[in-house]
Amino acid sequence: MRDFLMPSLGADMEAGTLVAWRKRLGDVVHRGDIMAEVDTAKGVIEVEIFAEGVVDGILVEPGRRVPVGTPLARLREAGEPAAAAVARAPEAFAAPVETGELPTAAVAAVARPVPPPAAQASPSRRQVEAAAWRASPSARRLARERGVDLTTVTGTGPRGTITEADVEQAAAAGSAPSAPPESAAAAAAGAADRLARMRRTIAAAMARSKREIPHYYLRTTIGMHRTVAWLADENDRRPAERRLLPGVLLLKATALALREVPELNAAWEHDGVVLRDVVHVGVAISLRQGGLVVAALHDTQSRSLDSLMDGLRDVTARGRAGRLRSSELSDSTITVTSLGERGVESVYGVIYPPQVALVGFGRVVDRPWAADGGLFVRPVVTATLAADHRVTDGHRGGLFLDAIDRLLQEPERL
Amino acid sequence: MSGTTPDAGAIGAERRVREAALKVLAGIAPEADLAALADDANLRRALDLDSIDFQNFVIGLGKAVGTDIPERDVPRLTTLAGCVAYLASRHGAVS
Repeated sequence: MRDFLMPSLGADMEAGTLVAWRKRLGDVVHRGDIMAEVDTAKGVIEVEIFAEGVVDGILVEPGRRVPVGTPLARLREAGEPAAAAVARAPEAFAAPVETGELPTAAVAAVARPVPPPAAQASPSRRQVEAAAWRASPSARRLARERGVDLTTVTGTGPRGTITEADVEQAAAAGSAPSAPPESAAAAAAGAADRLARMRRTIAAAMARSKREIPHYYLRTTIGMHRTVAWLADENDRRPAERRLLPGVLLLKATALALREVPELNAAWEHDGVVLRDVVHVGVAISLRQGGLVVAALHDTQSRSLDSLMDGLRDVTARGRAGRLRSSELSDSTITVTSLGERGVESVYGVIYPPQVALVGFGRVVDRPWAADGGLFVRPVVTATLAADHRVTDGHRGGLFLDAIDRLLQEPERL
Repeated sequence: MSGTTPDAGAIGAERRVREAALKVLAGIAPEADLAALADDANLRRALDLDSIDFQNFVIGLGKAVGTDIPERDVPRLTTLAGCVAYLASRHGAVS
């Protein structure tokens, strides 16, 4: 038996509202299937599952707002017997609690004081599962029967395990979910409300980043004449819907440069660095109504420029419509922010925890450029790196920007 | 229209390009007040379009008028007036 939990969709998420189930009791699910839709400050997110099995219990009904890590459904894995046909959806979980809650509930939930760093650290999937399991089976059963949210119970057993007595006590005390429930109406709160929530979540994540991450910054100017010429030639032969934007070459070059300095593709977790063996570059997408989301382009290193272009267009459209998938929000291993063709010349980013690096690209602009003893007017781009000094230093960071430069001089090989 | 244009067909073509352009822009920037968009306004600046938005505009406009707009001609689509002049002249008989 395995629980499907309210996921952490980034360092800045504490709770989410279940909007709808996409699977029903008894449905067979596969890795990558979309299980549910969850409303967050970043829009309605399609939450994928990374396990196989049969949906054996629905624990949270649409309309409820629950903290990250709360079990939403139970999954029976291959070989397990079906659960007895009892208490599939215990009443306490099944009833959408306190419907008619005002939209301010959602605001209140994200506007709570920022918890101390340890409590706020984005739990990995494994951690969340571990936390959810830190209750004895009998305590879990009792909690379901009594409608007690285990995430709100303090365990007094060995190593903080939640015991039956703890559940009894919580039930007697009228234990309520730690985050206020939110009605479906509130989930559909207006764009202004969402923007306010988004600003608060961005503020919480960025404040944490600035507080905890000792940033250092590097900047270099990269000659883009080869890239621009290759791109113009390539795009001249392509219909509009297959043309490539310069930003896609910058993304691919960034991903490939990580081969040379892999320690920038990592996460800082539990006072240590965890290197990632795949590269999922997260792209910062500015939203038209304000705010931004970062969406991962999975396996950036191994994808073709065409595939990355399609992916970029796709996540940009869905990010702006508030329809990203959970893996896109939570899988990025490094972030690239590009302020585009009309923007400024350079950007010094704030690292998105738990990542350890952020690469910024400014506008491609024509500038005087000295080369081969002559002076030319050439397109150039300013690349910056904001990186975590706990993991790398300026020397390694400099090698990384140099690798991006070299890769961009051979655009046909990207 | 000033009424001095002699060719009613050309006027119709211009109107169709303009309507097509505004329809595509409305899909890309749904919050924008397109009625207030000046003919000579820089579309990217006026509507805060990034490079993907603008590429989507070029794709959408090409589809709407039934032609593929070559990359080298894209700079002519900077303004609404530019779009009309370029497409109405190049594709006088737009679909």
